Amino acid sequence: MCLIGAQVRHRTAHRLIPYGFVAPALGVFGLFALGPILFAVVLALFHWDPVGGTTRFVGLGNFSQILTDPRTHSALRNNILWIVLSLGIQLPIALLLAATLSDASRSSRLLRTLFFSPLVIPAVAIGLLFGIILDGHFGSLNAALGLLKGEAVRIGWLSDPRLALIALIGVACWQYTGFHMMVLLAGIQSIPHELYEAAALDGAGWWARLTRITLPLLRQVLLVDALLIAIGSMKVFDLVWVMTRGGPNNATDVLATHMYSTAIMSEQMGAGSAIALLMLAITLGFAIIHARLAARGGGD
Amino acid sequence: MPPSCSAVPRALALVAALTLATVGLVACARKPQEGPSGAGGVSAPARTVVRFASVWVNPPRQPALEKVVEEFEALHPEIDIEVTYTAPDDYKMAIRTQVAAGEAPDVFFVWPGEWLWKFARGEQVMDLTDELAKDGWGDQFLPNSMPLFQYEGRAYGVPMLMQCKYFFYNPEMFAERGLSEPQTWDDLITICETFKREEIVPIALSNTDRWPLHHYATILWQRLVGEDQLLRDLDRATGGAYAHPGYRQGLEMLEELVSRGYFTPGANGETRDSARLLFATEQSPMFFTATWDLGWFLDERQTPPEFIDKWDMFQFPSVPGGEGNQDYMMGAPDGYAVYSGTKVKDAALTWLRYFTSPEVGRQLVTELQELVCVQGAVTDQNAGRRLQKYANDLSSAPGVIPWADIMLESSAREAFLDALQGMLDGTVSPEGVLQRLREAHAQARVEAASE
Repeated sequence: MCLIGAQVRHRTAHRLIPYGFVAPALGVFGLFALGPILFAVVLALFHWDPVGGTTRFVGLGNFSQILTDPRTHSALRNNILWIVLSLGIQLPIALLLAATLSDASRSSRLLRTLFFSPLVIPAVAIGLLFGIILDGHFGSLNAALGLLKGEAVRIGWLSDPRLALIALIGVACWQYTGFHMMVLLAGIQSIPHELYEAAALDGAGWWARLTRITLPLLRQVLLVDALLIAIGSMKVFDLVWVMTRGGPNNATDVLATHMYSTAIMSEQMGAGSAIALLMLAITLGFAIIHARLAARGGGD
Repeated sequence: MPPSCSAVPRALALVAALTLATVGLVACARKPQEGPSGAGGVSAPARTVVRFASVWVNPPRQPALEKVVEEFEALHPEIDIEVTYTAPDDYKMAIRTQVAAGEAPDVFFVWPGEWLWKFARGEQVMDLTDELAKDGWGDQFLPNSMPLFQYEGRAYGVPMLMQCKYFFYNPEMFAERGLSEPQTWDDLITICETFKREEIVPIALSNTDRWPLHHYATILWQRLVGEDQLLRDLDRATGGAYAHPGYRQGLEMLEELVSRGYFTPGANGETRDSARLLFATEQSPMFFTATWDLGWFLDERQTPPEFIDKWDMFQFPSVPGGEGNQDYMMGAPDGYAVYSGTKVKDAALTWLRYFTSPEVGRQLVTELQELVCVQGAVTDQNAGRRLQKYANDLSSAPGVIPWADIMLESSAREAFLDALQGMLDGTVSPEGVLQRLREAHAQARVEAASE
């Protein structure tokens, strides 16, 4: 009896052990990710003003408010433009850099470190730095352009609503291209070297090797990297907030800054949470595609 | 080898303990608040920590505050003032987040009016009415500096510095062109046009923070609509109509300054420092700023020394035919409130009484050259020529209209400031600005009615 009982206990315990091991990670995830998300879901159903102390159930009112708000539409448009331009600029440059700098030479290693280095600078510092560089009156970019042109240049990089978003995306590209170069580099380095050697023997040039070997074998990595860019562009906040606060007149407003100013500046925590959930839904969509692709990649 | 029966519960217990420890670490990450009873040991006397939130991030204010804190701590060794400095625009967000999280500092900086009243409605700030009645604390403040700190007859804060708007200007640049201080709106336009013809941008403006431009709208509305009607319209529960034709006219007059190119181009992307620099480096002859810049333009750490004696100031001109009192000034005091959740109320009040005492007031006037809202703080000895002019103007002014952003409910304020930024870059018309303000205010009224 005792033996059977002990075996049953033993088996149950054996099944539980893995859960025990993931419990700490799960605990932290629950506390810092799942908990706040669930809290945001509840919050999105209420009009909650923590300063004024009012709480009122509004059902889906916050969602209909933000979905019909033209500011949400323009913020989403800006996010989409951010994704498209980031993909269009970062991916080709990162690929070119990765293909060029994939060897183990000293200069390649140095350049790789150099291109990667912007990533380790905090976005706030980058924002402040480029805020000074791009200043319309005292900025060094205009000063440099002025030297070239021979007359004072006063381009309002961050104050002209037509330019500000492009300028911000440019800064983001400067910061992240190096990172994507590293991702693609890892992919390139996993391609068997024999293929290149065989191609070289067959007389294939640099371009042919890039288009016939690197690109097809890198397809999966490229897709995953593109999704990383899309997700990153969807979540962008710090750079925008430090440099323009979403202005001028919401020209650089993205969903994250829209969420922040709605929740914090306008003190509409419920509507802010609804925007946060909208962002979550979109990034989750990307993440699901990512997971599917990754799974398919694993099955290849 | 499978784990033994006793090893499994031990392993699970270990995992559970680790989980709890992680959660516990997080919970303990919060800095414990030392209460009056203190956590001090036998050897070290317990010091009560009073957390104090200030927006005085730059010289000369920041070092002046540090000095006051040092002097206070020398007088009260049992109290430790822990100051956090946050720039005003970041502070507006930070303090709301802290209050929402139940983590607000014991004594914190406030703008009066609706900005503070909201905290009062949410019972986030302590009712100081009874405290102010003790020992004549409340009587020592300048008359008219208190009302904006009162909500439904109770006081929720105390005033510190009185701030009013002036055109800071460059008299040399004016004199070279035979110009003098404008008395009316038309005079101002003439001055602007004179400079503009020489391709000098007449008025330095930075509007990244969005509120600088709305000061023009507020004072023009006061001049045209009248102070009483304006305050009624700005009220979150009863206002929102903005029906007086002066509202539209005021915005059209402001748009005239914009469209004629009288402001710094691309001002929506300019920082305050940049606008100050344009004025201090004599690239623009005028800068419509408030008396918080009195100290800035007198401080060699911030302003080119040769410019310090160069500038002067005049009040916003009158608008003939307007329904408001044309001698009104625009501005508001700033001040401090005590967090209702404070665990160190007595120490917090001791500090606040000291900080707003006439002695400290006189000391701050000497160092900041700003107007401290305590009677007798500004004297002939400690105030320079510009501060004395300001103090005299203020005492003879029929009244002071507060800037609209502290009177508007937050979502109406945000919509209004955004729309004005749009007007500055030509994408929103004056009527469009009014429309967006009306819509957001109507929504705020609905919210107010449902409370």
